[in-house]
Amino acid sequence: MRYCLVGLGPAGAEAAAAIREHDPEGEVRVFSDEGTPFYFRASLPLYALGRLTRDQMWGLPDAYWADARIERVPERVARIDADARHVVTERGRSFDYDRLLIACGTHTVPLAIPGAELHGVGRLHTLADADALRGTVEPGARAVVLGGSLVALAMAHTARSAGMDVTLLVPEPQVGLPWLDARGGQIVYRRLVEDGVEVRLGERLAAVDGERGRVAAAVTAGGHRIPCRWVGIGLDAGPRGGLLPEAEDERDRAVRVGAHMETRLPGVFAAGDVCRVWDPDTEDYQSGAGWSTASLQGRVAGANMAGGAETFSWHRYHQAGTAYDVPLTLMGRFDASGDAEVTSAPSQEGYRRLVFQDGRLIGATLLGDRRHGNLIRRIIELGVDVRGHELQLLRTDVDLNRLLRPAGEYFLY
Amino acid sequence: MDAIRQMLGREVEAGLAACVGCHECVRACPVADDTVRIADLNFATRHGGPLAPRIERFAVECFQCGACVPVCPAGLERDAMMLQLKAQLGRMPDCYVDDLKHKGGHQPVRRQVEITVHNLMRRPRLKGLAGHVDKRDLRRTDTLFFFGCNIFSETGVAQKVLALADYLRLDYEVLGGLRSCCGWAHYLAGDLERAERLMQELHERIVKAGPKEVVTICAECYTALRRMSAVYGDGYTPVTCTTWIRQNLHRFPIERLPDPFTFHDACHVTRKLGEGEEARRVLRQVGSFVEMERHGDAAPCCGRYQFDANPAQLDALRRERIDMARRAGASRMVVECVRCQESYGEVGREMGVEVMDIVDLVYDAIRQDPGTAAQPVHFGSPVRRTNEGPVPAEGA
Repeated sequence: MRYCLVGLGPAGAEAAAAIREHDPEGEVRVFSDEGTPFYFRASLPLYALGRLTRDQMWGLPDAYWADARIERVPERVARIDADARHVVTERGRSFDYDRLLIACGTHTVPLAIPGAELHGVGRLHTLADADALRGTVEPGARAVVLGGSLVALAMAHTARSAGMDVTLLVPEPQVGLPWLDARGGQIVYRRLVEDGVEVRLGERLAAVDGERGRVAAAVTAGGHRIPCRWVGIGLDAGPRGGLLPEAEDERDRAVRVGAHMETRLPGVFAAGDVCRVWDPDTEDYQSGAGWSTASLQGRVAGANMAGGAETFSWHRYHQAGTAYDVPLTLMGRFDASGDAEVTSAPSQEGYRRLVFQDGRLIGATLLGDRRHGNLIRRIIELGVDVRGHELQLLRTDVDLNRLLRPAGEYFLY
Repeated sequence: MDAIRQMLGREVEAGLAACVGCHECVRACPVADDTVRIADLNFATRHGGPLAPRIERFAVECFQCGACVPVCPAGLERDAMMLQLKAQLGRMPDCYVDDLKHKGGHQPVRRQVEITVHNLMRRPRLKGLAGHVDKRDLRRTDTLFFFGCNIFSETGVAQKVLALADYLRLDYEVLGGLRSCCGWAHYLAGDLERAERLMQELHERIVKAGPKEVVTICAECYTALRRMSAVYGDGYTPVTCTTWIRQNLHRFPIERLPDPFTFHDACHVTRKLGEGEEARRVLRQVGSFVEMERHGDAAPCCGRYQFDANPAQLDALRRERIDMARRAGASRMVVECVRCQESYGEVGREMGVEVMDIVDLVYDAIRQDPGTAAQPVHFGSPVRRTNEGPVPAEGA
C-alpha cells in the first residue's frame, strides 16, 4: 500500500505513526514545504523567547523517520489528481498513492495594509516566523499585536515576557473569541491589564509606518499612531484548502470528512485544521481542531487509511493551553447550548462553564483552575449520567471519582 | 485485574497527543537533567522497548512526586506518563525489588518464611500492636486504623495515634502488617497488576469489618484507600490522620507550643489530592506555625518512592529541604506521612531540625500525657474480642 500524507503537523505526524503501527510494510511519504521535521508548533512562543532550543522543538526522535521507514519529502504539493491517484509537487515530481491524507493545517491571512512588508512585522505560525521574531525582540521597546484570538494572546504574552511594552489591538468587542464567551473574555482582559498590556477593543490596524525598512509605528483605523518596534499579526488563519475543490466546503475551503475522517473521494482522508468533520448533533460540518484534537483526528485517519474502522466524535474534542497566561481547557461541545448549563461565579482567577444534554455532560470550559480537567474529559467521553451532580462538577474540592465507578476508573487529580 | 494498566494506557495516549513540547515538566522535575528531550521521552513512553540509557535512568529515578503536573500548560499528567515508562522497564530495578518483595500476600514459601521471621523479630518493638499484624478477622467498628506496613515504623506514630484514640475513648479496630499492604508502593514502582490485586484484597477485608472511616498515617496508603473506595464501592471514607485529628482537636486539652515549627507537605495529600490545608488548620491551633519558602503545591518531595536508586541525589534533595526548614526559623519540621518522617529523620538530626509527625506534635501539645491519661490503653491490650464493647469510661 502506498500512502501519501500532505502536511507534517500533529495530524500528519500522528497519522504516519498510526499507519506504521497498522501496516508495517506500507510505503509512507509525508510532504511538508517547511523542510523541517515535525515540531511542536504550539511551543513557538517559547522558542521565540529562547526558552527552548531548536533541538527541543522537534516532536520525534531524530532517528524516528529512518527507523519507521517514513520518507519526508520537503516539497509543497501543488496539485492532486484524485482520479489518477497521484500528487504532484511544486518541483513537478509525481507520486502515486493508494491512500491520501490532507493534513496541511491552516494558512495565514495576508495582511493587506501599507507597511506589511516591513522588517519587524511578524507572525508566529511557523518555525521560520519564530526565528525571525527572535531577532526582533527588544526589551523595553513597544510591540503592537493585532488580534484577540488565542494566537494573538500568545504573541502578546511572548512579547511581554521578553520585557516589551505591549499594545493589543482587538478588532472584536472582546478578547478570546470564538473560544471564550463574554465572561471568559472579561477575565482574560483583566489579566492582560493587570500585567501591563494596553488593550484596545474594537480597534483595527490600518498601516505600519517604517524607517529604513523597519517598523517604526502602528497606525490604527481610528487614526492613532503607536510608536513601536514590532508588529505581531495574530489573526486566526483559515483552512489551507484548494488542493481538492471537489471535497471542500464552500464556506472556507476546508476539506469535508465523515466520522472516519474520510472524504467523499475514494481513498482520500483529511485531518486537523484543514478539515471540517461531520457533526450529527448540529447536522453540519464543524472545524477548529487545535493541537491535541488534530493529533487525535490524525490517529483516527491513519488507522483507517491502513484498514481500521476508528471514529472521531466532537465529544472527544480537547484543547488545553493558555489564554495569555491563564490556563484554558476546552472539552467536548464546549460551545454548545445543550438543554442545561451551569457556570461558576467568575472570579479574578477564572471560571467554569459546563454544558449538559439529557443528563449528560457534553462540554466544558475550564478557565483558570483546570483541576479535575482529565476526569471531566473522561465523564464527557463516557457519556456518564450525571443527573443530580451538575453543581458538584463545578467544584474542585470534592472527589468526583464516584461518578466514574461504573467504568472502574479513578483519577488522582 | 488490569484496570489500572488500561486506564493508564488510555490517559497516556491522550497526554501524548496533547503534549506541546514546552519542556516545563522536565524543568520542574527534581531528578531530570537538561539532556532529557520531550521527543525522546514521549516516544519511549508510547513505544516502550529497550530504553535509551538516559531515559531508563530517568524512569528509575523518578519518584512520582507530581511536580511536573501543575506546571504543564496543557494540563497533562506527566507523572502518569513516567509511571507508564516504569511499567515498561524490561526488568524491575533491584532496589525496587528489595523494597517491595515482602509486601503483600500470596508470596512464595521462602518469602512467607522471611515475613514470619521479620514479624517475630519486630514483635518486641511493636509495643502492643503485634496482635493486629495481618489478622484475618476484623471486629466490626465505625473506625478502623489502617497502618499497612507502617505498623512496623520505628517512628512510633502508630502507637501515638492509638493513644490519642484511647484518650478519646473511641471504639476502633486496627490492621497492619506486610501482608496487609495497600499496594500503592507497587503502583508507584510500575508493578500495576500487583498493585491492583493488593488493593482489591485489602478492600474486601476492610469492607467485611464495615467501618465508616478508615484512618491512615501514610499519604500513599491514604491515596490507595481513596482509589479503592471510589472504584470498588462505597462503605467507608478514607481519612488522613491529619483530618482525623482536625475533627477531634477540640476534644484534646491543647497547650500551644512556644517554639516555631514548619510543615512539609506530602505530595500525595497536597499536590495530588489538594488537601494540604487540613494540616495547616491543625498546626495554626497548636502553636507557632511558619511556612517554608516552597510549600503547598510547590513543595519538594522526600523521594521515598525512588527506592534509593540514587542515594546521593536523594541525600542532596533532603538536605536542601531541611535547610529550608532552618531558613524558616523552625527547629521542628512537621510532616503528615510516616514515609516523609522516615526519609527526612536522619538528615534532620544531623542538621539540627527535629522531623516529627503531626501526631507527635499534637501529642506533645496535650497538657497531660495521653498514653497515661486514658485507662486502659486499648492498643496495648491483646487483640480485642469480636463484638467487644466500647472502651470503658475512665475509672470504670
